[in-house]
Amino acid sequence: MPAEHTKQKVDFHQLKHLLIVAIKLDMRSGSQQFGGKGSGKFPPILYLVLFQFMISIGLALGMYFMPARLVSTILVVTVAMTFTALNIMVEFGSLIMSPDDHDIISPLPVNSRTFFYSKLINLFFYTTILTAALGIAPTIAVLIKTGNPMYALVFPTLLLAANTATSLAISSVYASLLKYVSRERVTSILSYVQMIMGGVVYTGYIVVPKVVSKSFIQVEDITDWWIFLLPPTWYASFIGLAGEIDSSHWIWSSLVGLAALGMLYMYCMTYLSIDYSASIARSLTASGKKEPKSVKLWQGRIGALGRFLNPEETAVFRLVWAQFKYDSRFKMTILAIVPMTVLYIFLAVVDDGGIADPFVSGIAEAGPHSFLVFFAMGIFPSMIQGGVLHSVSYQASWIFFATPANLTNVMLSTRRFIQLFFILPYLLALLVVFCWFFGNLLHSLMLLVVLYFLTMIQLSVTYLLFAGVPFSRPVKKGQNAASVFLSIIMPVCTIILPMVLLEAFVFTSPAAYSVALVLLLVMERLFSRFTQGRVAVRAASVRYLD
Amino acid sequence: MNMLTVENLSKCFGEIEAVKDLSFTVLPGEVFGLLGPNGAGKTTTIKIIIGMLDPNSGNVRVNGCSVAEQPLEVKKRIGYVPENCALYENLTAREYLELVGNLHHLPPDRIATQIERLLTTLDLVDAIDRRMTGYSKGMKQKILLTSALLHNPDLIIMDEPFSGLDSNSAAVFKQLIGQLVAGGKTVIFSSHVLEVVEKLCGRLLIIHEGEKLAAGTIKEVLAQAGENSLEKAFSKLTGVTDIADRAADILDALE
Repeated sequence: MPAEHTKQKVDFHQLKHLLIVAIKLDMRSGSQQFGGKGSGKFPPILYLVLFQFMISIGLALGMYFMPARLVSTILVVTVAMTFTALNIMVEFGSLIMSPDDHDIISPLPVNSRTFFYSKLINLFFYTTILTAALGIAPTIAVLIKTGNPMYALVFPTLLLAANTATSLAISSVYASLLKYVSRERVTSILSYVQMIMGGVVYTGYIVVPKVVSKSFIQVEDITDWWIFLLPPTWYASFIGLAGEIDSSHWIWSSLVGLAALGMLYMYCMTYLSIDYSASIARSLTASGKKEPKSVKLWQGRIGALGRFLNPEETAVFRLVWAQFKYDSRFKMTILAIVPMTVLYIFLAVVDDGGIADPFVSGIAEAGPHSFLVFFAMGIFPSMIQGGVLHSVSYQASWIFFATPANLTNVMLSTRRFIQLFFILPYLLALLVVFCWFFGNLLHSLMLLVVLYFLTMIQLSVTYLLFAGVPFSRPVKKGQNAASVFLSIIMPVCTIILPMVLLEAFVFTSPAAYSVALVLLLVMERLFSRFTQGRVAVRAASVRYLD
Repeated sequence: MNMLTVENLSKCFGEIEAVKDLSFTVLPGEVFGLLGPNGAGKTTTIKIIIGMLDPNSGNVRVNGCSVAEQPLEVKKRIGYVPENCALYENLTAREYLELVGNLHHLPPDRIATQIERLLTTLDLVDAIDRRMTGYSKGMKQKILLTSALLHNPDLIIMDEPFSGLDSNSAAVFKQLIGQLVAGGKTVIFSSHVLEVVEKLCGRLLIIHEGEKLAAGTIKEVLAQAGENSLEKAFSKLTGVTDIADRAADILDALE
């Protein structure tokens, strides 16, 4: 290692200016967000803050009503650590190892340690904002419940410590992997980790109450060794400072948490920071790889579909499949759907009462999770559309603007893609599930038709809001998570509420069903026409972003 | 002392050898041209010289400083204009240039003066407080040039500096290169435009598939190739002698 490297010190003058620029860039990344025409005022990080704040209200209710403070704090810390990890993984390209930063900064006289510090502090800034959004409501809830002012200090501190430990742990794993593996490989590995983490987030709120026993909820001290082994326990134990735990176990647990934090800090600052720049350079210059067989296979299948597709659809379908293989961000977005769908169907199926036939017994007979199968269906369109608009190689979209391609068809192609490759296969899977539970093919088909129309209406709404040329917009920090947030909110309005109303007032009467079906058909057609018109208007004004 | 000494430089990307045992020197106060077809290894060589990439083997010294041993010292002495317009486009030109100046530890008043002077000369002062997202490629290229000159470096390295520039801007760039050299600076640039190389460069190096094919003054290169024009010498050295046939083949394919 060069002598100059080993005696690297952080240059605080450079660090200050790198951080100022990083924060400016974070706050200015709102333009071209989703369907906007370029004048977006809100950076994606604000959507994420709103999302975290909504979750924090649920956590606050848990803090207020759960009897044992330690357990409720462990659960809040677990959620905070999981979301921090997930946010970093979803956005890691821009947070930890941005190729843009390397291209711009590496020719300048900035040492690796200063560069690494700037990335790490920027990461803390980003995750601390999110943790604050997540922690504020539970802190207020526990203050109101206990009237103990120490919580105003202790609760934010323990959340910050947990958040810092998570950020350092994830950064350590990334930066260590980069030393030995190419960036493409790291990205590929992490896309699968993120898929699993996504599954945990989407289903955790249902699975955890089933797994956590009532006796655990009553636990008021670290009495079992396995509780001690959970990293969130180490940081939740800080509530002992507020005098909430009688025994001295919390002291040992807190010390383990602090020791872990210290070790992660030392590891990052000594081993990783010195050759961080070189690691990124190595990872960015790894050689290209051969085209995977699966792309050729899928392109062959799309070729077979060709006679039913217009030329723009054929081109966009091929592009989407190729992006899935080569663009890790897009791959992560799509892969996150798989565990979520499987788990939602699984939970609905194994639930007591399962999925009841709405034409016979109505909603009251169904298990409490039966609506998850409808909810999953509503998530597809906005989640995929959110991912399909942005790409790191957005400049390659010039091809759509420089050829006589019909831009309206180009923009609507992804709608057809979602319909053919996500909605229809999912409906087929649901047909099997419904037939199993209802024992009645006709009823299963009748429910599926309703679901199909609702989903297509949801798809139209998505396009009214977010239509754009595929992969034509640059990737912004916080944007993936923002699209997940919108994906969760929208189906509640467009799928779940209508299904509740239909189950309550329509499904038990053949006449009401027939009228509702005609209405849904008309609405679906109207939305579809309106969407096409709006997309055509937007296509006339959309411009290539260089 | 040479301004730049490159000795036995090699760089591999996986199985691809981008640079093979390359050696050359650049003298202080000269304009040195790096020529080669696409994928010849020009950009890789430049990135190694400025310390963006580590070589697999070989040494690079800038004004006596080893890039491997003293990368920061080397970077302080070099101004680099990259081929791709790598900029933080969500910043204004002023914000970006202030960042570069601060990373070079220049005093604030000097940064402000230099930005004002350089951008006025390059006809860009009116756009100084606009975000660079709306800039043309030529405008971005001028900002990159300004950022490369801000700290008054000894050695200026430009990777394809004329691509994307209109003829007036290109003329300013050519004039500027001449004046920089007259002022004692050393300039290295890579280019595909042989006329520009012929006009500006005192010496040049032609590389192909990472290997040195010819080096020296233009006369020496022509003599090595046994040709009377740089264009013919370049074609001959890089093994493309059937240019007319290739053009005809393309036209045939269109029919």
